[in-house]
Amino acid sequence: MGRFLLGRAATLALVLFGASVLIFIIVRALPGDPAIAMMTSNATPAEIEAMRRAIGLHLPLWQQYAVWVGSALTGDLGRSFMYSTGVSGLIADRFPVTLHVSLMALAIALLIAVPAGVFSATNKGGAVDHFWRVFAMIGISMPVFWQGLLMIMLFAVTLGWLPPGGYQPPSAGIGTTTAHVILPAICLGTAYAATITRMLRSSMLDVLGREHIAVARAHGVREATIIWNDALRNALIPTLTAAGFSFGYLLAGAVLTEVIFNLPGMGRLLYESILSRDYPLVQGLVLLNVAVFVMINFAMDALYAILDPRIRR
Amino acid sequence: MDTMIGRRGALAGLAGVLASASLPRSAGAQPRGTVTASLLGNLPNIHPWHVGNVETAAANLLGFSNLVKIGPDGTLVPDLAVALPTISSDGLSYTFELRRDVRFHNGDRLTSEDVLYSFDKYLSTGRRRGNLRRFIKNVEKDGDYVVRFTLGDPWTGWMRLLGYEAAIVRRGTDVVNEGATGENLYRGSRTAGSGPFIPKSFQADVAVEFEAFPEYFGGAPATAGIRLVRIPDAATQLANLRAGSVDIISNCPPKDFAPTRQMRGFAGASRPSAGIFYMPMNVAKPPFDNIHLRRAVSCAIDREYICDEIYSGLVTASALPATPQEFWYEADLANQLKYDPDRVRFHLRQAGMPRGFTFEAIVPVPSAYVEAREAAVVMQANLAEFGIRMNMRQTDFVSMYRSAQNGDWQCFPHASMQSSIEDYLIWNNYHKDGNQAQWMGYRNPAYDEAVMESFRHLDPARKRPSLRKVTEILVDHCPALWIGRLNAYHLWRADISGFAPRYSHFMDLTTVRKG
Amino acid sequence: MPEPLFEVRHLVTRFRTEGGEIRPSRDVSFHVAEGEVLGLVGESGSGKSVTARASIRLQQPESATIGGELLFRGRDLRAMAAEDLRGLRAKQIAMVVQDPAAALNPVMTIGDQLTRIHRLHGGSEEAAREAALALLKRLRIAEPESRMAAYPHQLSGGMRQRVLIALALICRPALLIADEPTTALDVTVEAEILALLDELRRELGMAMLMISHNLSVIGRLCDRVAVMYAGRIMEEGPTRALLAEPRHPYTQALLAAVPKGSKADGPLPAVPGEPPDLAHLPPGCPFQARCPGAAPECTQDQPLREIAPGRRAACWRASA
Repeated sequence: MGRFLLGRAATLALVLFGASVLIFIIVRALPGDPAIAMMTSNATPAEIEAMRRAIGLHLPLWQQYAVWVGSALTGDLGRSFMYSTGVSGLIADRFPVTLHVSLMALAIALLIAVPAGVFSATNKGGAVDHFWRVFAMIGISMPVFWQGLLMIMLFAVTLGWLPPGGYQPPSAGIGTTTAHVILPAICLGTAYAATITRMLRSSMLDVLGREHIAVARAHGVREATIIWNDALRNALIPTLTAAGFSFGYLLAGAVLTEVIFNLPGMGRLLYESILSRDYPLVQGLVLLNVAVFVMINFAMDALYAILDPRIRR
Repeated sequence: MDTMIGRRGALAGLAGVLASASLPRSAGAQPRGTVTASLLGNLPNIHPWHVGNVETAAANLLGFSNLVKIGPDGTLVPDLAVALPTISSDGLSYTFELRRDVRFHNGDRLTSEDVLYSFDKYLSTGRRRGNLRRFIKNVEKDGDYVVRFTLGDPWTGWMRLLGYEAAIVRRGTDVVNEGATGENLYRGSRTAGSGPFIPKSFQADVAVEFEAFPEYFGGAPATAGIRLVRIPDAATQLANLRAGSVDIISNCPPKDFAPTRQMRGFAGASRPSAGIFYMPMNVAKPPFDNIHLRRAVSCAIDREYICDEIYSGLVTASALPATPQEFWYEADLANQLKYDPDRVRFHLRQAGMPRGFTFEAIVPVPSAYVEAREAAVVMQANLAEFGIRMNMRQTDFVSMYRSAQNGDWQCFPHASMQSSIEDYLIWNNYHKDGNQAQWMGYRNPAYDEAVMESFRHLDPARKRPSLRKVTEILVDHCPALWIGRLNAYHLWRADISGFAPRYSHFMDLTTVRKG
Repeated sequence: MPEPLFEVRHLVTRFRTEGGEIRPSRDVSFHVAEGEVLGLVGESGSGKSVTARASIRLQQPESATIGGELLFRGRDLRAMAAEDLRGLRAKQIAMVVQDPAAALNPVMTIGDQLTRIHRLHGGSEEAAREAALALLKRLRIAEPESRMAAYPHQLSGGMRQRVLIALALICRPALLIADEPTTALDVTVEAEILALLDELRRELGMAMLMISHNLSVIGRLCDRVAVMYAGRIMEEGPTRALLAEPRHPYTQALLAAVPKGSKADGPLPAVPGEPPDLAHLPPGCPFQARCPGAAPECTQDQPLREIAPGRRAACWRASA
């Protein structure tokens, strides 16, 4: 396990280095000059040039990269042009919001998807299967802003049960924080659940057709045990791995959901940083996303090893 | 020459003073309640020298005061100054006398030193300092309560900027103090401003909270606290208003405006603002180097349909920069550019292209204020009736400006917010020294002269002849297609008073009260 | 004749496929007496495996419908409540299958898989563990203690097959369905496992339904044989007699195709002609298209009829 971790850490460092170079180049290849984005339309060329100097854009590319990576290694991702504050601080403000909503969405998704996937598979072609098939179709194809607005109109405006948006951290109390996060989490969670349900269903069908299920059945193992233990434990392995990667996407932030529910999360921050060509912020966010993906990849490998004894050494 | 500001301006200013004086601000009355208002655009900071959009401007207005401010109808109103400035006969010297009863939030008295400090900093570090630096040559004090500005060219319009940014801060308050004092102008300082409210907390893009400043020189505010929250979607803003979590919303989906306003428990209003929806055309490049093609396009657009049907009446249609309600609107000139199929055909024939032509429009997506794409689709259909083909290239704002600066553009329909149309739009875009004129490609000495003449006066009556000349030239040369003026439209809960949409578009919550 | 331990009467299975309805068992009847070994032999696709599984109500696929009577000690398994049937499993009826790699749950240890079967039918954790260990020892598995903690992928193929047998025998059933239990193994291991299986069967007095396409395995282990073709039993009788004097043209063709001197070792030889398309069978005898002696009578249904004491065949030609 130690060697495994060490190898993984080396890979992680390598991936992050490669990613940092790529991010640096790609961000600079975006059309549009950040100095202009910062100055509004009526700045003079001389002022734009002064701004370019002020934010270091006049330096050769490799120097800009060296400066950026050098400070990134000390946790300083630079200063956002737009917010005039440290990128690390901005991320520290926004990431917990996205993490909170994503975890909640994951919990909701699993709560829906595990029973839905299992029952769809065991009732293949039956009413339950059709119900979840329709659910999955709606969950995947319904525009998130439409679903979000419908839920806000129902739960916040008509019923008045929940706040229509905004974020409150867990420190505001479990009731308050949950009330603020539940709707966006449902919004994200149902779409996510739809995907997991479909994966789990096909995975369950595959496992239920395997010989060891027939053998367990032949020896009188209860049907419920066969489904929820024998089959599910096997079916969850590929499903959780795929779900883990989807979770990585969630952690990158969901722009539309964050806009509709007015959550100050990572998606909105990235979106706005790109629109305003806030290089340091874009770089920091994308680098973080890459790091999160690599970490999740790592966590999924570890989880896979725990779930599937064949991987263990 | 007018050594004083025009009579109408003075009256308007007086009306403003009277209006604010008549507001219930009796001494001893305790400010009550917290008003929450939502803003659409991002709120990256509340620094008075780095105002980047109408949202940050609205926040600035609460915490800071300036020499003058802009009233709801666009007239200038004295703020830190006791009256509008005395302007020298050559139009180059502006003398402000400061109020003597102004205290900053930390209790310090405001003097001319603070004004000098603020302008020194703004002119050297402000985000849009170019706007003022071009005109202001010198700022000096004459004793503790008089400040004199010397301009290089006559230009009354510069004061309009003061209603938007470049607020006066207490001397010595700068971001460089962040480490030493913990104060930060970007995130709101409790000691820098002299506005009716003191910044209490700031979370970028989330919320900024203010509390009443009882010693405000205009009288203690009627409201104990104001919370500006950012809600980046218009439909969500409306949901928040209806759910009661917000008292005032800056935006709502246009089609929901009229119905919600009629609903019990809600109110709302709209008025044309200094924003404009228009389409500059590149006169330096085919096809729009041909005046007839510019005119043909202008006469082919059904502005009423776009403004009434697409934008639910929240854009006021006009073929000129001015709206029909404004003093410098010229109906006879507007007729030359308004929707008229016969004129389209005439101009196409004159251009030698009776069967139409093709051009490319850069459409910013997403766009600010109104969605340009929706109007562009109607324009496409309008133009197609005459065989004119408008191809759309959708891109973001920054890329759009980059194309414009590189000369790589034919036209771009978009919404723009100016601090005043009669000063800014006519200067910025088409005057030789205008910031955008460099890439607009329009050059005309006669035009420049007419603009500079209009800049000498503040009084509409005296301004009008030169503005007519300006409009005549614009109509003659047609360097842009004017579609309409953006309305400021807000909705609020019925228990809110002391608040109305403004010419300046962004919200002025300084006199708002609840209950 | 005493009442047989297990008797299948007129078993029919059918399920839908894209090519049409398939009936892997078409009116199949057979019986197994206490302690007896019945071999079910046929080419792959003849329906023997589906028939065997359906006979103990383990339909493959699960959507298949079945008809007929499945009498175990006189009680019809089809009429039984699911819970009662479950009570019979492992304790009375057990199954060993072909592919030991797929037949064991990859995420459970050997020990867990073994002991849970024992405990399902009563008994403590301790008793289950002891029984499992004893059985593994009896199956000549070295270091049974550590094997108990192992996962299936950590064992060799032969070892896994022994575990599979242990799984079937841990509750000492009266009937074992052995569905090609050694096909996946190499020859030396196969012989070892077969010997072990036979030894244990005798020890436990267990009856067995042995499904195979290997005539040598059948010959070595079975008391009686039933030959299946296209979902039907073509011929049935005592192993020795049937192999020595086949009466049905299909059995004859099958034996004739075995190379001389090979002692019928190895999988079934190829019979001349095309194997039947199960979705589109002709009326009457399914073998008629490949039968050297086909005649107009063959288009009539050929019921399995007694041609000699203890011998039955489904051919109008067949006689003692």
